[in-house]
Amino acid sequence: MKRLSEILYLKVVTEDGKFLGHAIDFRSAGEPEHGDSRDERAVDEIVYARFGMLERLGLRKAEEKTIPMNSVRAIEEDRIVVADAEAG
Amino acid sequence: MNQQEYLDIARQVLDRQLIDSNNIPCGKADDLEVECGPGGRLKMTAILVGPDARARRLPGLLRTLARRFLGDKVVRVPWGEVSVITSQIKLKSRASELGLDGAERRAARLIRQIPGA
Amino acid sequence: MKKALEIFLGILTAMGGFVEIGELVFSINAGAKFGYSLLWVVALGTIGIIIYGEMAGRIAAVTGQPVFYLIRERAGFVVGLGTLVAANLVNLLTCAAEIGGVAILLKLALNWPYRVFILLGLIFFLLVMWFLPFQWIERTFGLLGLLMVVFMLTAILLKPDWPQAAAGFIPNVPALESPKEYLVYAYFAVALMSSIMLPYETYFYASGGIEDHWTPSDVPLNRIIVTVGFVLGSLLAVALIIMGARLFLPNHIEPQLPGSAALGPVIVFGKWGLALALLGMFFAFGGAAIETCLSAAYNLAQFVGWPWGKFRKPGGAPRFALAWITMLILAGLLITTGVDPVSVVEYSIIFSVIILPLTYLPILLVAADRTCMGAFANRWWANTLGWFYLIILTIAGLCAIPLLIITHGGKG
Repeated sequence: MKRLSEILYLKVVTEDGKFLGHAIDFRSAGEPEHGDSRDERAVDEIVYARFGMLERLGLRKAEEKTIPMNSVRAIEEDRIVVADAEAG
Repeated sequence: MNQQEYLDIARQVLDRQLIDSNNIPCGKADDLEVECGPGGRLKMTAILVGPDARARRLPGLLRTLARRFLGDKVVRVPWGEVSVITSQIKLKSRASELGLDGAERRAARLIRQIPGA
Repeated sequence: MKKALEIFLGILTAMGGFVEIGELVFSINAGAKFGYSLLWVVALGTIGIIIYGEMAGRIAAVTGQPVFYLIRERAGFVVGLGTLVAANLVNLLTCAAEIGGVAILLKLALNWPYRVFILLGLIFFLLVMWFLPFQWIERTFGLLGLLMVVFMLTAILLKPDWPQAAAGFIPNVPALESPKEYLVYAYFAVALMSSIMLPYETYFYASGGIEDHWTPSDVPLNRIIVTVGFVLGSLLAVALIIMGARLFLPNHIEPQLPGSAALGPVIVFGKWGLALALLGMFFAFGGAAIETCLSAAYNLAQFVGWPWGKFRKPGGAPRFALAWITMLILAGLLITTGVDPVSVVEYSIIFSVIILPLTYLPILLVAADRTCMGAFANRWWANTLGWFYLIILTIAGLCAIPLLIITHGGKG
């Protein structure tokens, strides 16, 4: 069992070590709850971007990309490893 | 407003205000519980509320101090309790039913002794 | 008709609440040291607080959410916590200084021990904040703070050199005697600017908008109140500079504040002048003590997610109530140590300008954000001015501590 804060902003790298960006969000398909109920929400995509100081402060809009969860090979202590083929 | 077809859990759930079924504020989504499954599967299962959840988001020494002085309580609100997500997260039950009103009740016992409360 | 009354009272409240002990100290000293030269800083600072006050009020009216909700959501937990600690530290220091200022004023009227007046002041504020609804507190202290108008009349009747005063509104650096003097001038410019743009003014104002249950239809009302109210309030600061320039500069007096502030009205109006000046300052400082105290409680409750608001009554928001009670007592304890309130306010103002960019940036970003604000998001001029002030404040913040050290707190 992990907490979101432990995996948020982790480096996203490919299997051969190429740095893609930082995980700035985790996207779950399906509308935000409006009266219906689910016991849990599956995360379907990781939203990542080059996330420097300017982006963190909100001064520059981060260029977001997504990668589907089934491309994720492993979530480690300090990074998220994804398959080599880059997703849009 | 576009009807959004997804939920970004870091930007739309984490650190958002929780309100109970009576629209009373009952804390923030201080962290979210996620389960890692095999093959990179990830699912969000609960909202975590409380000093311990907050302390764990602090680095190093601050975390130790926070847990020492502010306690280690954390309340787990299962995701099934979430009713409506807008700019706030409305829950289905009352704060008391979810265990989110402990500190507020203790403070109320103190405050209500003073006339005019 | 009801809206007109609300606007009218809102303007008067904003005006009466504009001056607190920090502005008073730095305005009079600015006049006493540099004559009319620093008037442009009052104008600059006033425009700045109007811009950011309007944004904060607009955010409250449109989103119904207080500033600290948005800070935590956008800047994140750790940065938000840093902002909370910094803003509340300034609140604590400012509150302590205002309580000390009130005690000094009471001591001028009645020669009892200073610490007795601190205690009496604390009890008075506790009772007022506990029993009176939010609007009553705001209106009473704001309107009675308008007694400070006696300073405006005093300034006029002291017959300042109006053309010279007008020239002071254009950014200028006067010819001074030594390089050290220029640094003191810069220090006063930074401090005066900071005292006008104290962050609690915006955060508290936004929380107040939510206490008053503002909706998007209140956006124009908000605009009128901040603009007219703060401009009129700034005239009080202008009057204090003029008074300092006419009374203290010619004789090279370093006024002992806040007591010496009353000298002007005494000279012009005699006994009545003294009474009005002391009463006006009492309510101006007292109002600021209450506002900084409540602001600290708002900030904390809004950051952590507690129920908050005077509208809930203490029983309905007990941790919020405990927060402002604790803050008031802490401020009282701090000032009881005997530290000079004027020194406390100087430090709080210098510290405040360092954190101002941190506290103002989220307001600007949220007010400009179309996804939060919809059609009410900043127009280009609000964005331009907002960024302009953020840059100025960052520069001022970087200079603040060096100037404080080199000029020994403005003493040269």
